Amino acid sequence: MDILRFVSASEAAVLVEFGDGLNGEIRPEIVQRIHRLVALLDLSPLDGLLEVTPAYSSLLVEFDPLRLLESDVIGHVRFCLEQIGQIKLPSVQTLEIPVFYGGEYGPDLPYCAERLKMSVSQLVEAHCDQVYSVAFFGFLPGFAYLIGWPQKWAMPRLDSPRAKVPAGSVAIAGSQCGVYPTISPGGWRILGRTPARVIDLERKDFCLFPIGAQVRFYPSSPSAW
Amino acid sequence: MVKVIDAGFLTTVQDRPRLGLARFGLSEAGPMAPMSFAEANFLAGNAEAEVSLEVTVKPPRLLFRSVAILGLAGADFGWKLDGRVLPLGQTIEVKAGSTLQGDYCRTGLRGYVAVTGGWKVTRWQGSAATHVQSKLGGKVLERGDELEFGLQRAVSRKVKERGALAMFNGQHKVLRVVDGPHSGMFGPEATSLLCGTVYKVTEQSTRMALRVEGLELPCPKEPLLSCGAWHGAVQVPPSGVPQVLGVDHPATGGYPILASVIQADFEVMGQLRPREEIRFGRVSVETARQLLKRQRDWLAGLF
Repeated sequence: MDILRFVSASEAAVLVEFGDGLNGEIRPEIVQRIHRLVALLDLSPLDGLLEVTPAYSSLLVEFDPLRLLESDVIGHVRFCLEQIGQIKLPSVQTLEIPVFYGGEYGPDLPYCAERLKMSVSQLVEAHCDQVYSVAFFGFLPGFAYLIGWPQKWAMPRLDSPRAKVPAGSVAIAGSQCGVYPTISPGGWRILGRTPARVIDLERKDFCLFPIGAQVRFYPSSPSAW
Repeated sequence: MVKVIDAGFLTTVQDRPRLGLARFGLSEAGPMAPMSFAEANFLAGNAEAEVSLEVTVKPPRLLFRSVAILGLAGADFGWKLDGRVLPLGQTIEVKAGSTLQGDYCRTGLRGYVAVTGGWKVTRWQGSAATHVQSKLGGKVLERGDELEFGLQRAVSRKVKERGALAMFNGQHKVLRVVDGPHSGMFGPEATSLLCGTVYKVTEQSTRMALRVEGLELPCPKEPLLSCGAWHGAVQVPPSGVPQVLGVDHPATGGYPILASVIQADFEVMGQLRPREEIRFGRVSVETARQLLKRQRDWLAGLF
């Protein structure tokens, strides 16, 4: 868990890698450690440090190579890591997200239920019973990778992705869950759709899901909106 | 005020990159050809990077309803004002009622239209840069749009050495690279293979990624968890054909990154045209820094 590597990514970026390779495995405690590191870097700004990009097992740190050396950046990250556990970080947000399950909103719900040998309502219940955590973002701006769907219920992606997945679609793939922020192609299995706006330019953070937030889904219906 | 008579092939509002949103999956956007962007702003008399128009392949036709002072830089579009050919590398004064237009790019791919005081486009999250793929921030110009610009003051500037321009003239362009974070996962010969062959730029290239065709590189077999991505990263997808990420790159990606195009060559990369042949060349991190310093010093000398 404490294995830490700094890998030079370019003359202007260093990749901070946690764990060792992990063989493609997602480890929630490492994801959380990366989120804490991001919070600590936010609390101790360093002139010339430009951008940080968290992922499952790494944090990419980009910097201005004429203002900072890679060794300065590594020193700063090490300093911040030493503060983990000593500094109180903002408490984790919990978000409750309504979902219209099944029907036109969740075309893959019946297939997924059958594959998992559950009834449709059992699957909806199972999906709502989990507490998900926002691990990181990718694929599209505002597309959060949520972890918390049990590995035993891992779901394969579609053989050929859909050309158009509507915004708000709530989908699963492997042991990940995601909400499509905008209309886009997509190969995840769609269980339902949320009326919540995932991205909103008026919001300060623009995206509904900050990294590290806990997410719970609950069944709702369009008539309630 | 300016009226967009014709928007051209792809004309977007660009500004300094929008940093800090990678954690929400949004990359920085901003100019694909940063030297030309800076040069256009210098010619327009702006003290620093102001909101400018990035012109791609075919320029827009703009009707100026009021006087303006412009800086034009980057690809040679054969710019004309009311049919009269404009000189390159100097401040352009535009009278009310004049029309600015040009032809398909003759050299390079991207140019910038900067105006004294900058174009008035609302900044979102600190920047008016357009992330084209998601349409977040800034603006993609459309026919009939009306754009305002900032206050006018008298300016007259020239660029003596057209340093930025020189970089995209001539044959056999080279994108210099440093080792990427996953270079060790590839066979020891992968970087030599990347740098020992000629790649051809394809029509699929966008601000998201420069796509090329040519030699397929051997790919690592081990599974890789997604990691942060950046402008310049040379990803190798399972096909083995590398691609270089641009300013509208996905924030994270699961393809291994063999190398990274150095920042000093972003201008060259941003000006590559479809079907152009390029090579990659490996340099040290120290060389990459020196080359970037030389470029920044040249820019600082302009202002």
